[in-house]
Amino acid sequence: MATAIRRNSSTGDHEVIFRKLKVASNGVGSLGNTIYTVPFPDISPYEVTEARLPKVAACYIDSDSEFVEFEFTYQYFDPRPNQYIDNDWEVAVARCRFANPSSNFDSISPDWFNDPEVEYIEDHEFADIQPDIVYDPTTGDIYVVLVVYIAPGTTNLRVIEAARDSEDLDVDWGTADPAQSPIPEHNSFHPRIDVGQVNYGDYQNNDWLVGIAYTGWDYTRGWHIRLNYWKTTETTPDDFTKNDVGWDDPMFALFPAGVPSIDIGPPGSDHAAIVWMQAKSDDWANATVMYADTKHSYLPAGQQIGYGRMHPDSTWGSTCSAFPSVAVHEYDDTYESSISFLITTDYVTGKWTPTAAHVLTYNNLAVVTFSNNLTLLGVDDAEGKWDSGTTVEHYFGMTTALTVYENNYWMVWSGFDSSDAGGPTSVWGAYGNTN
Amino acid sequence: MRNFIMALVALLMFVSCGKLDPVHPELCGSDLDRAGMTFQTAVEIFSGDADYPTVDADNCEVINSIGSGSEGTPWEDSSGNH
Repeated sequence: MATAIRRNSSTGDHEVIFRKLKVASNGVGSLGNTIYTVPFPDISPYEVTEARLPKVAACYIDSDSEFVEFEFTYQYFDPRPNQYIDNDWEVAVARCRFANPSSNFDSISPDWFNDPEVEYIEDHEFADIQPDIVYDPTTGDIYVVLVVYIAPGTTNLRVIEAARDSEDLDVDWGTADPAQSPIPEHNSFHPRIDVGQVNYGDYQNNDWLVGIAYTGWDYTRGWHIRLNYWKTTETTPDDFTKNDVGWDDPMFALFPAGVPSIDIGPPGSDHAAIVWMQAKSDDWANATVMYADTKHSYLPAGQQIGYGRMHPDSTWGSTCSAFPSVAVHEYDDTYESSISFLITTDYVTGKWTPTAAHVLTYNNLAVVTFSNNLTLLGVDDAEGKWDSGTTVEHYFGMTTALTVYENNYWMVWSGFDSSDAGGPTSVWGAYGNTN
Repeated sequence: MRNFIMALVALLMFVSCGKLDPVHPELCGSDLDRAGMTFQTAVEIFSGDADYPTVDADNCEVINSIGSGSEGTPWEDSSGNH
């Protein structure tokens, strides 16, 4: 499943769309025929005309009834005046079911139900942006993490959980107090969330954990990567100070890092991984991709996570790598990670190449290599200048995404933001497999 | 003599792979020779005015029965597509 933002050709408004990425039994990838539109919240008499940064999560439920459920989250521009500011960004979620998964997916329309859930942010006094979403596969509960502006120039993170009723299988987002679930790391951005079974930190009993990776700030580190986690069986904590971990790569300790992606592997893998962007200078004039997982142990005890740099891009050279995504998957009777990212040797004028690579290990260390490059074919719009000033707080959502099913890959990517040239216009993808 | 040469070769291999920057190690050939990823030609998923073309992908990898927590079964359409 891929989701993106598109401008409606008739109205000119932005809309959230999604499409199925297929994997045939003969190992050939193809696109679903239908492009679906995700509904916006009903804020009549106003209208939602702009949305950004959609994320999607999926869950197959075969309890008393059988269906595939998709939950989308995105930020939309709310034109309604409220108590504090006239208009701002808010976050919505929207959910649909395909009730008969064994039928032809493309021949049925999504059964939208429960209008986009905006109650918990309606009339919120703060702007909400950059949401991410995930299912808890043991319960069908849903978690959303988002960024909240609590004061000019100051942000916080919030986690909102929807519980699923075991009888009617519906979910209830409840009412979230604006103070719910603050993570005490001001100026936090780009949170990504996942749920999985992994031993980490204080939890060493094969517990199901919720993990959040995000870009955090403090006065000693500046922008850096942080991680927070708790058991799914615990109430979503109001105070995240217990398991909040941050770290720096010693080689780049003086420079900012951020924009992570996190994946906790399938049950039994005991493997979780994070990738992020590491600046090579204060102003983000150049960056590389960093990787860390729970299986390798370079960092000192207590942080309990190992990491590796891009190979051979751990230099100060002109190669710039950006916007990574990570997927943990089975390979050769074990589990490993693959990542996707954009790379360029000319970050001044663009020429970005979507790339996918395995993460190899050497002497118990993780190394991201270029041994399995994805060759870019026929895409011209992934060009653009490096807009370093918006790297951390950007709304444009330049990104790649990688998803893996058995030995099948789908990598998707957006064009690079080239605002001066009018912006990119397409989203691309490539199917691949492990040979 | 033969044993000496073999030992020397082994030593050289050990040294060459043993120059280990703990974060940025030299890679041995066996690591690089592993199976790779093969991709088909890229396709345009969303064309047109895809302003702010953020993308996200999900493969339903956490599909499970409620309460089971086990890895589930992906759906399949009438053409055998997952």
